[in-house]
Amino acid sequence: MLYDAIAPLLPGVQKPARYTGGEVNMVKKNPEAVRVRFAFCFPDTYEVGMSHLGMKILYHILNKREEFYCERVFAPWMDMERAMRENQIPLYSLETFTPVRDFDLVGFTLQYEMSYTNVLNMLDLAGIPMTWRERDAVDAPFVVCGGPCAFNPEPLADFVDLFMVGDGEEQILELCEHYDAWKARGGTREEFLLEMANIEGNYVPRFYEAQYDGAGEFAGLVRTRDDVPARIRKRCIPDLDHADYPDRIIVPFTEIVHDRVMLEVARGCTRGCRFCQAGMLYRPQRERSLERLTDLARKLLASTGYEEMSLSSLSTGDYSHLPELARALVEEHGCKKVAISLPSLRIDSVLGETLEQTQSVRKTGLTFAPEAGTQRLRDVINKGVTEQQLYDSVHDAFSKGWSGVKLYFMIGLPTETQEDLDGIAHLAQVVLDAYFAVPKEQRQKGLRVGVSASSFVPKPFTPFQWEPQNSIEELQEKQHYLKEKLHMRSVNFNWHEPHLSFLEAAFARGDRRLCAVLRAAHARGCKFDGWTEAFDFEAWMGAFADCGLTCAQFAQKRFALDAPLPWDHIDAGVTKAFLRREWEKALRGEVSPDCRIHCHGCGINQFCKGVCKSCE
Amino acid sequence: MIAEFEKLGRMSWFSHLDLQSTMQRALRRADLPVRYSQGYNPHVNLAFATALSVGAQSRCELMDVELEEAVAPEAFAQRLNACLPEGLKIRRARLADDHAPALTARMAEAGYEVRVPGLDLRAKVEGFLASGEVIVEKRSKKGVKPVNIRPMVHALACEWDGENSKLTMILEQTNANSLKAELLLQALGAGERYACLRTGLYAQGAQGERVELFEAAKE
Repeated sequence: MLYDAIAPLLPGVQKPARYTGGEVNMVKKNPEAVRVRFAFCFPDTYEVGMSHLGMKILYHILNKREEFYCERVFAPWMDMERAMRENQIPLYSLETFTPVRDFDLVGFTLQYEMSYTNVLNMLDLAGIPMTWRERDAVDAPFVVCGGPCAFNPEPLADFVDLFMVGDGEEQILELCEHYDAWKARGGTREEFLLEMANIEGNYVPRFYEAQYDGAGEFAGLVRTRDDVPARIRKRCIPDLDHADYPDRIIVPFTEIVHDRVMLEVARGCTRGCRFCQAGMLYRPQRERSLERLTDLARKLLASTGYEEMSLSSLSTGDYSHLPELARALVEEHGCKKVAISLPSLRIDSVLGETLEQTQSVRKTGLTFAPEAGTQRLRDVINKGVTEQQLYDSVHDAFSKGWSGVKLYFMIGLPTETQEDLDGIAHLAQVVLDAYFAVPKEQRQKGLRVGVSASSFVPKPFTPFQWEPQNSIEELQEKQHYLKEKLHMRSVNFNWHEPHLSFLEAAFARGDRRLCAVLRAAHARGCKFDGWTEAFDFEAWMGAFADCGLTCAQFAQKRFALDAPLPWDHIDAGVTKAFLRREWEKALRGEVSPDCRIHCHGCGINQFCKGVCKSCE
Repeated sequence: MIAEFEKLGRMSWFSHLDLQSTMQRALRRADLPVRYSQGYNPHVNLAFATALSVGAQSRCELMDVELEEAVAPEAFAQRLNACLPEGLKIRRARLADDHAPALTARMAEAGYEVRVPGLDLRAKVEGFLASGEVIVEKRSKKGVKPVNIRPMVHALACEWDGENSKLTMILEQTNANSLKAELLLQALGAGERYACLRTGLYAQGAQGERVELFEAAKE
């Protein structure tokens, strides 16, 4: 067995428990006795991948079916990769130590753009050809991808056989069922993919072709045969309450990023922040019922023994039954010393002081995300937070014993001026003022205000999808300016690496020309780009140059409103007309209130009929 | 409750800290009436005799779990085993007196079996046993310092079967002074590709004789 070859390598690597599986609730099946073997690959480390909710859901759904076996694969850290390559050990699954190349289907979840080199590297380490053309020739496993980045699949079009766009719960089962039937009757790879291409939510890039204009710019994507859909509608699970959700999840031995039970209370968000891609992609907002959630919580805690549980969604504070849910969970599980993590902002209103004293509630760090420094810019991005709200909330928190608060901002947002940067420093001052307004004997000593500024990245399917990103120089200048401005006592300023955001912007809105860049970057050794210790900007710039392209031509491109966009063939449910209206409102500084208050006609209600409660 | 458990195969790759949370969660899954500590972050009152190095296996780890109400040792072992992953297994359990000294306080020695592939270590072992003093660099939190490990090796033997050296050893393992198997293996030039199994944890009996720590903790 492969384990015997792996074990001797483990004393020489960091955190060896990442590579050996065998955890509680890991699914064990006889690989000989199943019909379809699916390798679920997460293109990052074990600790990151094991924290991902989507993987837990799909692992559960696939393995519930006796005839399918889903196993997990993570990117080995660089020390382990080196040891594996030196000893000719191929990438393998944690459940049965089976080489990934021996699976039927190899699936990657694409959570962020800067994991793409890891996708290529994992295929390489598995001994699976990277492009679908090469794989066709040797009958290698099919490579399928899902996750939010599948909404602009083009930068990976050469490498992937099939993209699954939208909610994956039904799609992943259909994939395995169709694969099983195809394998049983025998047929060509193209026949299988053609069949898949005609199921809602599936995109098979080989049946489409990109066109470029005289200047070499993207001019549209056309299908190369008329028996595939012109547009790919995302999949949407209308009724979350009846959707399958795991009642047991794997409990890792070694600490992972989110080491607790995650209860997905809702999917989607009604706030409509104009920079937020998830807020658009996961529409309509759907909730699980109180009964379903308390039942799941009971089963999950019993099957895992976890001592902590968090309520997960894009905006948990907006869940309609939050007070009842929190109270029910604390009452039922508090005696077993289970801590329920709640968004800090809502704790008081939700639970009241009595429950707060039971210590069964773990407050997540006190964080606020005003995102922009002035009311004008917050109106532009439709982030409904006011200075007064911020003051009141932190004042309240400081008087209840908090002494640390984190503020999140973005720089480089459309229409940003120096005044908006000054506004960031002003809001930091507002927080300081709120602290000192609390009588000395009531407030906790040791005030810490963390101010964090990330760089704006324009994303597909947002009202800012047409906008260019600031240049690295502009972003650095703004960071420098803020650093000076925020030179205040008790304030700690930190910022994100703008070089990484620059690449992220290119891959978020890029087209098929980036496939070559990605391959070149991999050849130059790029991997784990999201990790500072691994990120090699020079190598990336070299990769763009190898292909006669620049990163700036993608990241800093302003798309014309009527220009074809590389992701136009994907139908995310929100219409381009809506995004354009929102963009125009943004420029006028007009807000669009929460769509539970007022429907803005985003199109999702026509797309996913009757699900959107606010549009009834 | 004092429980002896094995930690074999894949279970040898996580750390002592990971073992603590793994056992806590298993106890919770088994719904055993464990006692929790006070404070902001309550945890199960659970103490291990000693840590095991990452990569080493064991068939004799010991832990002491405080329970709120009495549970029969057999039932304890059975219920916990139903909730433990393959490779972790309670071998036996018995009631402990709440006022008995902690396992760590009674511990005197640890025994190991080590298989070293491809190296005949018989001569090295003989040389080691013949010396009165063997100084090695011992790394601790305070830095590196030279230590004479010879007196801490209470028994050592080596067999060679033509392919592997099989070492058996009993090493000092007390709160104040302990010798890790790795350090001795390093001194013997065993390389890094060996398989280490802990075979026993011992206390000192009334006459200074070697007794199993599991038994000794009874009084």
